[in-house]
Amino acid sequence: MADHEKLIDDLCASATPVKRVAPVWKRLLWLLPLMLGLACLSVISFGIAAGGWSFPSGSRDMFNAILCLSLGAASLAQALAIGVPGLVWRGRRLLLMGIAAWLAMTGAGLETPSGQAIVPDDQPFCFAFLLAAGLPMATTVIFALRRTRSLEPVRALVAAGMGVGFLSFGLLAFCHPAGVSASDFITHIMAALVIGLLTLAVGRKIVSV
Amino acid sequence: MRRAQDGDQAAYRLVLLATLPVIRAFARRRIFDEVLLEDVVQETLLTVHKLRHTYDPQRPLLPWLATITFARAIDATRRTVRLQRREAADEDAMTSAVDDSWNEQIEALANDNEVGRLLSRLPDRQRMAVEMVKIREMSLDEAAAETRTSVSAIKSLLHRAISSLRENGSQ
Repeated sequence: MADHEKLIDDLCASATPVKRVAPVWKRLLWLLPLMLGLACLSVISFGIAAGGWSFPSGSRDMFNAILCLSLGAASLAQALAIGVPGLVWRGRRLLLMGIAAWLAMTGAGLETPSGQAIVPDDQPFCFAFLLAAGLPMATTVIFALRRTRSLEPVRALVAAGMGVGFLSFGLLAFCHPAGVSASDFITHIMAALVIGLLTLAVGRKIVSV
Repeated sequence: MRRAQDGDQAAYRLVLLATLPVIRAFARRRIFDEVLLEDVVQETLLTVHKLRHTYDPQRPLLPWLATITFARAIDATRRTVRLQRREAADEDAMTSAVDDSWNEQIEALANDNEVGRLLSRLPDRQRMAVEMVKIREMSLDEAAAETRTSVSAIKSLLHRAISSLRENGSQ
């Protein structure tokens, strides 16, 4: 049998006071504004929002923006909860329903674009916008997850990457109508995948225990 | 645990000692090898130390502890399986990389040992004659010159030596 008491003595000798981790909702309260603020600054500083920011006009555009931001916040809450051992996050079913609703709404929008005209050849703009908004948010969320670290870093980072992707979609909704062409939609998904994969690749070692 | 989080080392020691059997019991649900079990207990203690700031004193301790223990047990199992796979692969590689000439060399070594054993039973002069003529492949003249005897004496020594070797070898 290993000498666990010796290890316990060593651990106790190095035990200094620690700052307890705040509840998930409190952490989200400062994390979300920080992430969104950094994303806006990044997009503005790169001059990518060339078309200008505008408040979503139509009800569907408005609903799309709110849904994306909510899904982003919910995914981030899940990522933060995964980092706390033994904490069960009960919003998973709601999150899946939200994603299904978003997919249904976007799928419907592929055929009937809303009143605002879609700028032709705007895929590079969308891609650059989503990356410029997503990368600072991904960096921020990796450092937020590092506070707790995670026993399941891949699960936590996938949830975080999804959250960043949806928040980026939410911000894009302020420069872009909800109705998109199929190629535009694929560009959005590709950009979200790139953000998610980068989050996973960069964060895996940083976040794991 | 709250006091442990605040830096009370005595309280921390009490908590860790009290949770030791609990951790072992949780780990035993996933790990059936006793040696690996103790490794998992130790890794769980280290992880508890690293993650002690994530424990919320308003929540029960056991789910927090169980999650950490199960995660460490799964990691240990994965690591063991990965190691076993790698070892099996290496064994295959070793089998395919075996040089057949090794068998011949080992057989030759065994023969050398046997010859050495039989020669050691011969009288000194007979052994010397066998070594010179049969092992070092000297001619009868050269052997006679080196031992300062006649060729016929060498022949006689060899004849007696070979007869003795046959007798000893057949035993």
